[in-house]
Amino acid sequence: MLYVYALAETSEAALPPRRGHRGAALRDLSRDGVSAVFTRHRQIDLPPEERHLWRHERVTEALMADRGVLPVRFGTTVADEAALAAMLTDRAAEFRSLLELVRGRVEIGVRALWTPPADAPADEGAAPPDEAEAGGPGRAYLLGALRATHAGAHLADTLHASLAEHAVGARRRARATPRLLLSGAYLVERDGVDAFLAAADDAARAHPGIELLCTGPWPPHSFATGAPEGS
Amino acid sequence: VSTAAHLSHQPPAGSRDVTLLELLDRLVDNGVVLHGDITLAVADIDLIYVGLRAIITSVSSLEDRG
Repeated sequence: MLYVYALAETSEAALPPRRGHRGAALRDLSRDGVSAVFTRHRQIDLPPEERHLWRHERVTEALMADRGVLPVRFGTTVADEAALAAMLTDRAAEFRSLLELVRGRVEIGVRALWTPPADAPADEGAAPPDEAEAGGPGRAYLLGALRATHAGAHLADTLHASLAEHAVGARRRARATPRLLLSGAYLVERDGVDAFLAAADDAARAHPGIELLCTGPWPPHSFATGAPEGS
Repeated sequence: VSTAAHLSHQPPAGSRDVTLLELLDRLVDNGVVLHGDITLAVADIDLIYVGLRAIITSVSSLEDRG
């Protein structure tokens, strides 16, 4: 059974001197310019524990040092070399075009945390006091929450758009909580990471109440599939 | 991945957990899907997420500037 870590551009360079899961040696198999990097196991069924996740990640990062890579989803196994070769052959064109997109580029993860305005300070004069009173405090509360939700969605769109301007690719995940305004992934040139981070910092400063948590550089996990999700 | 939270003015206490959450999002939700067998049990993943979300939430509240 083969555990697959990543697809990579077929390279003259040797595989990195890293071990895969359970100390197994890395191997590769190439078809049409695309190489799959894997380890062989009699049987392997890994729980998504931290050490296993990092092992998968480190192998992928090591490959990324000198060739374009498409990370493969954690836990992917294939029966044998023949099955793997058939998959590469079937989808070589797709993989080559994705590799073309990510070559020389890295992914930066951005989470924007937002502290919504404690209570939307009633626009002075704009909100007739009797409107809120008419429906009681419950209604006023709901209206306030609704305003905050709309404001948050708008802010997330604005922030994502300004980050995307500084990237060659951008994907965002669904907003998980009111506090997590935006969770996005941005594909940037390997030597453009600092410029992207500076731009992100500027974008955050432009919006009070936003705090950014950036991680990376990552292999292009979020750009390893063709169909854009959400953006 | 060598760095986390470059931009926060003080490194958040939970940056390691944020990095792990980001790693998990990437490895189990993204990446090439081959037609192999995905060996992950969904229940395992949900448990990890639940734990991490709780951590992130508490980190968030720690970070609120007084």
